[in-house]
Amino acid sequence: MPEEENKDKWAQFIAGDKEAYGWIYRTNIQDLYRYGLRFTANTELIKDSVQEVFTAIYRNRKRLPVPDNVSVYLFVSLKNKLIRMMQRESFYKDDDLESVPFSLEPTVEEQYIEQETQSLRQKQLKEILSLLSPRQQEIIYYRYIKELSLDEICSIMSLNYQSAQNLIQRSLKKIREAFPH
Amino acid sequence: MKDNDIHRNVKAFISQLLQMQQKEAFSAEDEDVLWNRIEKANQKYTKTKRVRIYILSSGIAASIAVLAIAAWNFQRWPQEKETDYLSIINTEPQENLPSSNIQLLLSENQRLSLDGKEVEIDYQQDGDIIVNDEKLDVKEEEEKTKFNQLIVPAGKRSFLTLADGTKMWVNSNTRVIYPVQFAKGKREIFVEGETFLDVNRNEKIPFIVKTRKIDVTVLGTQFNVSTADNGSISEVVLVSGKVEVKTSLNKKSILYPSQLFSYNALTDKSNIKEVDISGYVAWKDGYYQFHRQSLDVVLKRISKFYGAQIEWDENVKKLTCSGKLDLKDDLASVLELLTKAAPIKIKKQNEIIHIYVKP
Repeated sequence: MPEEENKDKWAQFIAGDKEAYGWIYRTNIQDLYRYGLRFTANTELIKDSVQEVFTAIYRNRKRLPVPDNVSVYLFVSLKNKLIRMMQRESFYKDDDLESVPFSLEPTVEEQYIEQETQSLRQKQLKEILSLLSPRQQEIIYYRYIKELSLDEICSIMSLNYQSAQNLIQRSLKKIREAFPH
Repeated sequence: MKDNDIHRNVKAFISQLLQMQQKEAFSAEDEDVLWNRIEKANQKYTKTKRVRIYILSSGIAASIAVLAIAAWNFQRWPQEKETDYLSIINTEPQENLPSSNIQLLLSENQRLSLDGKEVEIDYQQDGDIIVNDEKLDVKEEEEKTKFNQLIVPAGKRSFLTLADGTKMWVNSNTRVIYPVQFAKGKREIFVEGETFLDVNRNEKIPFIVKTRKIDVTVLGTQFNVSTADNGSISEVVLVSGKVEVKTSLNKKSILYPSQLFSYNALTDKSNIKEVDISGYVAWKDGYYQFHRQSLDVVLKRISKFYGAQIEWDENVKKLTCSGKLDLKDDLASVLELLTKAAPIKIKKQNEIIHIYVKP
């Protein structure tokens, strides 16, 4: 998604343009939804959180900054809201950051013509994922699926530069070694 | 993919994930339904926000009213004279203070108590006052050249737009005194506590922020002003533009972006140094950001912001930590997060929060 356009629309939105607000929703909703699925399979919870993210930016529009990266800004807001809601609904009791669930595992089963190929590939994928901690899956997601910069990752995950790099390296090593040759 | 030298196994793994995740689509129908929900919620907000304001004191005791009237008349001094902000503060009815709500003082007998953690107040050029998107019903005749006061207690924040379009983020434990409409050729306000200002540019009329001990004069710029310890310590951090700072003893200094001016009125010492501004101004976006900051400073800041009684010992003071706290979180989650950034333990005993170094 062209981030520049996202930013232009954001500036229009905080200046009071309602169409720009709608545009931001439509342009980002798919990504936000998929991001939400990484934390929970409860789609209602994701929708509620997306709603809160968008109503909150609407309420506060007059004093919002234009973020360096609009989609990262929305991701961070959604993550905060989702985790808050999950805590509230006591999906898990301990609000330890380490225990925030994050899974790269796809929630939609891939449709293959050949059933065997499907199950084999999915089995492999699941096996590799089972070796990675939630934090490792999360950082792989930001770095290689969303292609965010290390700085952005540090701010989303509250990590410093060095620990972010370490976490990436450790995760990559696990994937390399686990992948069948 | 960003790294070219990334192993082919990893590449294969990621592209498989990507492929599969692409299939997790939010349907067009879901998209529309959710959008409608959002729009409805926004409309509802605008309507019901109908400010839970209530006038606290239209009929306060006569003696107080007399005092107050004296005070408000006082402010209708001819403009050439200096406004005596301290007398405005001192003559206000103390009975109503402190309150845990944000207070907006409109006139001698109109004092609004505003619910909510954050309140947005907008003074329009035509003199209308909008609080949280609702227009206030203020009696016409009282309008001109009158001062209003905004008092933000611990744990609350406020966003204020002045009649000239200047935006002010008002932090907790802060009082601001400002005119409903600026007099001709003069833009001046008084601040005690901490505010971030985005001054609407007007080369002809400088904007002056007065505190107990310093005056900051600007043409149009963004900066943070804070005072502490009854005004004896004042700080100004400049984000952009240029400002002139004048201390009570009439010493002037010019400040450039990314500079911090600090002044200790007890010793009459001032100092200018380069700083990372984000640590000083992030609070306005609801964050408190710090880098290798002593825990002593961080905890002082937190206890002040949340108005909580927190105690810690010398060992805790020796620690430093870095991080970013979301001030919209409640105190418990903020402290919880702090235990991740520093080796500390938290215990709560009868409303007092004790902080120890982890054994």
